[in-house]
Amino acid sequence: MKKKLLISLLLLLVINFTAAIAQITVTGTVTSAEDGEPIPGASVTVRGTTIGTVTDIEGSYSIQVPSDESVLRFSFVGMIRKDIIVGDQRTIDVELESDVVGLDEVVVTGYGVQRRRDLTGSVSSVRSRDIEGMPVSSIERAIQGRAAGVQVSASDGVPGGDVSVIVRGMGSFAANRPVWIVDGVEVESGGLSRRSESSSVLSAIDFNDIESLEVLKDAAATAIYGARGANGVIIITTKRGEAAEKTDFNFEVQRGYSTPHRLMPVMDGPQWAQYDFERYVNRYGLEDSRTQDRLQSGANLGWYTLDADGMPDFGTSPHYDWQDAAFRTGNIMEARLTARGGDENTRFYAALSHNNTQGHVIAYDFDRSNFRLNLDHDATDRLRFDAQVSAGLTNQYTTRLGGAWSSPVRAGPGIPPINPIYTWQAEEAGLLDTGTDFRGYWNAPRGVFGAYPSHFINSAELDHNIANNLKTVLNLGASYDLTDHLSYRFAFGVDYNHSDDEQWQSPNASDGFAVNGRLYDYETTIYAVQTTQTLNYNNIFRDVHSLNGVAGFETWERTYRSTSVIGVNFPNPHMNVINAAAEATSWGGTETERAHMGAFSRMNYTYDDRYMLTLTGRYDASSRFGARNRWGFFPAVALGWRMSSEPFMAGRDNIDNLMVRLSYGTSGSDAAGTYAALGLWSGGTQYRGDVGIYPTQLPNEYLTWEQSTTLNLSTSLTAYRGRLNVDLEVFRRWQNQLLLDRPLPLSSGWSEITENIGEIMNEGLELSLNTVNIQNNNFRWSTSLNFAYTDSEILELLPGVDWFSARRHVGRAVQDRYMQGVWAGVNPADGRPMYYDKNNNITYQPTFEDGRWFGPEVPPWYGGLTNEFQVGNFGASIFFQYSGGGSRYLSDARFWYFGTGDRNQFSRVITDRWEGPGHITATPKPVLGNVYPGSVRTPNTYGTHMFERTDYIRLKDVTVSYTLPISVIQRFGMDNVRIFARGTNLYTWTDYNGADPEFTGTDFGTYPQGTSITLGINTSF
Amino acid sequence: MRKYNLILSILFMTGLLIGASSCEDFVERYPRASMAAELAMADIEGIEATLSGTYNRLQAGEYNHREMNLVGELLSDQMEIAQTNAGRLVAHPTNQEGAGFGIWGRAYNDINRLNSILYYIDDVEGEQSRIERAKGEAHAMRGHIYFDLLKIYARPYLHQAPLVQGQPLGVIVKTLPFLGVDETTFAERGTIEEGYQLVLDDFTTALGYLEGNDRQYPFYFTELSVKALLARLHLFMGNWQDAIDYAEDVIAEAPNGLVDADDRDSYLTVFADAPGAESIFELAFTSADRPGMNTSVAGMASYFPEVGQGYGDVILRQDLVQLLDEYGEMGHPAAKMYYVREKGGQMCPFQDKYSSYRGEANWDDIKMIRMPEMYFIAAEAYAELGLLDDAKEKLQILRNHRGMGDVEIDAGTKEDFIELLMTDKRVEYFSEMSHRWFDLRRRGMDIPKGIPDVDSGADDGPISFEDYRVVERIPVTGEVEANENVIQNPGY
Repeated sequence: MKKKLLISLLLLLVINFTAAIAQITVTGTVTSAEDGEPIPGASVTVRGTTIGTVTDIEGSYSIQVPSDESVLRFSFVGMIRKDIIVGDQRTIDVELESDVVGLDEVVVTGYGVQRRRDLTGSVSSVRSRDIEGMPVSSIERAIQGRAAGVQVSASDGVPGGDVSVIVRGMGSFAANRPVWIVDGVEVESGGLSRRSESSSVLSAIDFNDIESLEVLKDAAATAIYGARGANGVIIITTKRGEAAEKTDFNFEVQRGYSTPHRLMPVMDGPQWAQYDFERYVNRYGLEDSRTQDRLQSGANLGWYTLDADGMPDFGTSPHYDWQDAAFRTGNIMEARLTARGGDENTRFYAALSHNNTQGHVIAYDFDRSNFRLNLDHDATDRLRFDAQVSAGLTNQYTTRLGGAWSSPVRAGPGIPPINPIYTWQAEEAGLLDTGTDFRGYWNAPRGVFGAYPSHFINSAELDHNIANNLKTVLNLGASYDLTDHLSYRFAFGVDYNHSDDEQWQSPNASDGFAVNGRLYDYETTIYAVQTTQTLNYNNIFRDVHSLNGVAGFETWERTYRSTSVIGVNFPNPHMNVINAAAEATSWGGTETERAHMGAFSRMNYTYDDRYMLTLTGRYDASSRFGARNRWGFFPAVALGWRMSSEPFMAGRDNIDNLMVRLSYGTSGSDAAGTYAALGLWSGGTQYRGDVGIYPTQLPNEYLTWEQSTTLNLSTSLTAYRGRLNVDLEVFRRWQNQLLLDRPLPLSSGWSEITENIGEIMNEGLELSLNTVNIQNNNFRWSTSLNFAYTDSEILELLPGVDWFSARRHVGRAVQDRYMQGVWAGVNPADGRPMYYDKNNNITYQPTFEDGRWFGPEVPPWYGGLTNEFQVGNFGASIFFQYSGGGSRYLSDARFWYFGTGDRNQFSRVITDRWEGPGHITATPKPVLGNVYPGSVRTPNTYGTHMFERTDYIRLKDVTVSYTLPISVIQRFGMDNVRIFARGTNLYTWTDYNGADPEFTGTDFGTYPQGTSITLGINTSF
Repeated sequence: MRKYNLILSILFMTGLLIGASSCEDFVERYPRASMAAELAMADIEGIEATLSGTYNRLQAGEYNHREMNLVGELLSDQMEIAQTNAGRLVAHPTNQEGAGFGIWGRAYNDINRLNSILYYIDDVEGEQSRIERAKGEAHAMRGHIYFDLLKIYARPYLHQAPLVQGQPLGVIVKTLPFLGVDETTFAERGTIEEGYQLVLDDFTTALGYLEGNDRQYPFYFTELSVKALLARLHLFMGNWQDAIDYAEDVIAEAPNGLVDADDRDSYLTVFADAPGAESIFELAFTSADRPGMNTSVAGMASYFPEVGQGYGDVILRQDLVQLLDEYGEMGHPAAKMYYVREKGGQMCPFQDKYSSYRGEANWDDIKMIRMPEMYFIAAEAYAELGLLDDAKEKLQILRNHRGMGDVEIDAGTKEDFIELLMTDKRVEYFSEMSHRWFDLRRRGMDIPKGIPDVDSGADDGPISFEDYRVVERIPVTGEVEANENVIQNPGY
């Protein structure tokens, strides 16, 4: 199926050659709009033909065109291309504009657009060309590091896996996820699949179809989204058709491979054998029978040979690389075809794409097919229709959830490397009678490693865990111009998400063995229906009073349905649907609904292009809230002052635009449970078969939204004809009425109630800098830098209550953590871990009072840096992404770092260990079970040494491309052919020892991000 | 212009349509998997379902299964933990601080449900007889749970000293459901007197509603089981004549009496059958109700490793085993209700009353009240009233049914008799409802531990009745920290 799709795409590539006979001669000059200088080497082509030429040293050209209807395309590196219909012109002089962030560029602000130069709210934009073709599986990953104030961190590297997106810091304990809007329709984000290890429903959206992505950050921008806007709003606008003489096709194919970006630095066989020996000796002493028994059993299992004194010879220890067995070289393949065109009345954009990512861990795959059709039709001068239809189908293959020894990413680095992987290895080592063969794989004897009677490669081959997702976003709109200044629009949108999860545990692999096969069959559907009506007004009075605005009304309702069945006892591994199961062990299903509706308005007034005022408000209701507090009003006001238009700035010709803005307003978050305000009674219980019900949730008819109030001050400078752009913003955001579970005394019959309590403040600074450093005829170098810093602080929990838990304390950041056991290093005298007490004295028995606060776990500063170079037809783009200032508790590193079980460990546990009195090192001596006499805490679970700084800089993307000369591709009727090579996650600079400094999820057996190299070709015709 | 008007009117009508379909309805959404309290409690079906849901809660491992049956036995002189164990309940045999009954939160959650029933029931539609029965059962169940709380978290009614900060504090008394956070949410503890009065009122009220009610006896609170509870309550409160009257009522009115149990098979009908032959109140378990190993009596205190049932962590103390054997010599079948198996090199005596007799693991009905208790209550109360002959007669009847018809009751004084009665009761009720622990406390007696510690060999001697550990700690997280008005029991 995938192959067929590819072949059809390739066929389409070759069927567009037309020839034409030149009849008319057109001449002219191409100059730069910036300085009026002629541009030599600019290409001039006739669209849809093989005719073309380049300008000479004076920027002049002469070209033969077939007819008056012909369209000439003028293009040059770093300039925005221009298409001109020949008509009756015989001399066509063209000025090309520099392709820098345009002041006249239109920015989507929600229910309307604004020119960038007129913006009064805080909006970050991601340009489509920055993310096009990135070999990552979802939009969230593509925008990482691209927008100031938008913090993107993957929870793991699973293709199609979940990603955390935080706009301007954590303002809530309930949810910090921004709202995603695609072409005006609110869409589901986050994980939908219930059996997948990690999933994101947004991975079903092809980010290559995106024309622009805007992130609304301050209240002036988000207030129009009312009770949903508090955590930011991300607005995606997809590409649309353009009227053109000829349909533009673009075909891109990309292929490459990926390898794990970081491996776990675990021990090799000899190191592990030595570690195991030493931890027994250090616990019991060499002569003790337990040590001697272990020594003998190790020798019997081939971990080492014993010398004449009965001591182990680690030089003879084998090494079996389990980590290597879990990983492989992954493949990435992507092909996409788009067509864009139309006439004056009807325009379209169509896209078809396919992505296949074979993971760099065995049993992981990701497959995505996308389809999109965007249509615009002008029925009359006043009436317009538009339609956006898209479907994304993803198939994600992961391994089973949670199971430590069935999962390649856990078991691979975790199994002691002296243990044979394959039966032939066991045979070679003469161990055949010590364990069991499992289809050529070797199962360690039970009892030696009590924990893992399974073999993950066997499971990976026989079991599967598939999440099939379908996401469809439909949007139909009609607009009518009531007057020249007033238009009405009605839009109807649907976001349909379906997930079908199937997890199969074969009777021939460990997880399904005991029950003769087990199948999980889960279905989840979420669909949302939205209607939006808006009135848009735009007028200028007496030349200086410019007024535009929007008013509207929106409804949205969402239904969640799920069913699940788990079946066991299958007649045959090949019959693995629920019908074949002899017995269903569990089943379930539910449905929930929620809705919101609101009336909103925004008004922009500009006086003389100098003074701007924006008033925004939304009156919003959410079904999640109590009857008494269901409706809320969210107002915002913003002021703008364009200093550059003031008379006193006259004469400063280098400054194109200088603007200062101030905004203040509120938006909300309704991230409570679906029926959070209702007192609920549920069923599912019985006494003697009589159905029973019981109260499950307390009513709170006063429950209402979290309220976020933002004060934002910003300035923008554009200078040197657009070659320098600086945006600097400072903000402070107070989020109060937090949706928080307040502890209740048990004697009330309850343990907690969801209430609106507490307040969190975030404040920060964001900087975006875009420069064109060098631009001449052959060379262009541009730089984009963004930086954000956010500091968060809990201002209040409950009156009189300073803390709820080790994670929530007034005065600390949301993600700070209280740790017992402040690490003081290793005692050089005896090699055991030391801690500080609250008076900074050494102790071996730290108490709760001796703890300290650490954090924040969400790094406060982060951003990205892009440098782009264009030399003739060669281009290069180098993108770094960075974050810092945070530290993270390696909660799961206890498995790798002084783990207690028979598990492989970080190699430094043995290489850096304390070796004898006087040895100064940071790593204690290994002791079985981490039992250090006189110490109450063990180093693997307690101690601030488990906090590590997560600062990193990552070389995220390097793209090198070559655009074939017009003269070459003309012959094939091509408009543009670009060949590129792309490297992703090439290098990371960090001191962090866990899986990945970026990960927000667990460090224990997490699918690593990939380093990938791809080659691709992009053709337009 | 006309076209303009047309569009405007369409626009207006669309707006009107959406507006008219009532904005409020659009954002009012209700779940299908649950329902609002007002709806759930609108009819007798909802009330009865809530009652069923609360009966289900009584079955919980952390309440009437493991907790009520084993914890008191471990805290007193009946049971201990095997040397090879999984680390559960290990602090209980040595009465370490914090090791005890943990039913506080669960009990108040159940009470809240019953308060809801009693709060809404007067406005409920349905047959009067069903409404009255539900009221009766709800009062009985609430009284029963408060009685348990008082027995665990407060000093006994007859021995209220040592006081709590100078006050005879009982438990927090709530008779209304949680209706929102207000000052009543952070309630103070009532006095012991108030607590027992509430239990008495509840039982008395219940009796009024349940008169003549024998619904599915003995699986629900019925007239008989409430009378039995009243007999027990009056014994705890020292109302000896009332205790006698209710106990005699139960003995006279119950369809089942004492069985003649002189061997294992006949005695087993009391424990292995469902309902048990002597049950006045029994919690019925379906296969789906079976608690896990950790939280069931059979899971913790039986040991059948060959079928993977029972951890065998809780075992009988040697002095109890000796006592059982002595009674066995006299004919009492209790000596046949334990077995000895080797576990981790130790010969362990295991109780055999809860041994998953119905096949599936941990599937036993819980015997909440059995007939012999009525004889013990009546006999003790007669003795307290100085009617020693009546007392002996009652105890003798019970002994006759336990193969001890020939054994004369050798007690010249009230004190001798009560000591004998308590020993009989220890034997009859081991591993059942912590009778021993509650009887010792009720009578203000020291807790005879007196077993040398396995590791140190030290004998701690008895725990004085005055010892703070005789009264359970009120949960710190969840109650003391969340409710500044509650006073912790002394010593904690």
